[in-house]
Amino acid sequence: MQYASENLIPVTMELGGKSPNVFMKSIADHDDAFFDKCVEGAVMFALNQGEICTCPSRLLVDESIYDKFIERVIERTEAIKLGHPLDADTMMGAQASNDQYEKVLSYIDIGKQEGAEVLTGGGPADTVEGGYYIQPTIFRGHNKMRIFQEEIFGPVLSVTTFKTPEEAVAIANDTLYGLGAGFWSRDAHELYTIPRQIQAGRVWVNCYHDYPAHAPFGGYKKSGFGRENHLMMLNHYRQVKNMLISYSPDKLGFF
Amino acid sequence: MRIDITPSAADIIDTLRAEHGPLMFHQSGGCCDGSSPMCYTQGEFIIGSSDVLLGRVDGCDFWMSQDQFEYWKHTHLTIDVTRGRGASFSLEIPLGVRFLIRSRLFDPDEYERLPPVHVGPLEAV
Repeated sequence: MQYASENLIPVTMELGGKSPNVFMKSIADHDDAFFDKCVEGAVMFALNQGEICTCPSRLLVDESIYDKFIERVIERTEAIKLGHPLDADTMMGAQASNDQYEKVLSYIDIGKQEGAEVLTGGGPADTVEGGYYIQPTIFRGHNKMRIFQEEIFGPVLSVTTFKTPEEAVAIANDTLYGLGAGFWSRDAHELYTIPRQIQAGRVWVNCYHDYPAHAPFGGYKKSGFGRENHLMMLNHYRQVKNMLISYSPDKLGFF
Repeated sequence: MRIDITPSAADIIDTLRAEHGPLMFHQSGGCCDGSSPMCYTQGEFIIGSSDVLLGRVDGCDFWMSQDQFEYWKHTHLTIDVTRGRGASFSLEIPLGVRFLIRSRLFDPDEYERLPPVHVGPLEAV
């Protein structure tokens, strides 16, 4: 961006994120298909081999349903089968490179030092010899910890609870980033009002990680500026031209 | 002292300095291959009024944006290096290695004694 500015070249940027995934208490009103979908939505943090800017890496859960929900999330996380990428049973592969692997482990280390509680995982996995495997890891802590604020780019989830919708929004927005977010509820009023308060370029509501064509994608705050994947994106490459044509052959009459 | 370096990382810096001249670091925030220290030739990255100088290590100034520093300031940082094929602009990439940060918490006494950090560009020398 600094180089582009030297030559006045306009840029759009899509940068990193630390996406909140918010689960309201109504999700646990019934133990049904939707509750199961919510559990899956929370576990999608594990799909990150070092490249997922929208990784739902902060899990925000209503305190009143925390125990019931996190038990299921941990159970599902522990059922993830790590393995060789060519094995059809494999659900999760290795990190993309050694440096990525080392970086993720350094974040797991600082999470433990800061006093976050390891709910599952918490270290490397020796799945395939020579592979950069990391156990899907869930920490419980608070939003000011570095593992809640920095983009780890690995299968690492940081969990905290909230008491009110206002607190959920405050925690969701207490980040330098604003790329993706998830919001889950059975309450039709919440579904329309609360996602609007989350400062993120895309808020998935009762879903996560959908990337349909023609849906604008981009970030608030340090997640960048400009949007991609939508017709409006073409305006970043176009100019607005204003032609002022005089119909009159006569002079203005000055002087 | 907020920032330190491992001997193996210092060796890489010496190699890079012999080729490129004086160097600097800026800690990357989140992005692809981000959350890692970026090594540039001195002055290649333009320091702004919202950047914080954490200190000088092995002859290199180490910078970070001020809002990110708010979340990092209670941790001591060590620049280390590992094998890797990072794809960033950082100078060490062609060597097949990648700088990374290892962190530890400051103990309370140590934290009290830390000098204030400098904010914004240094005066031209």
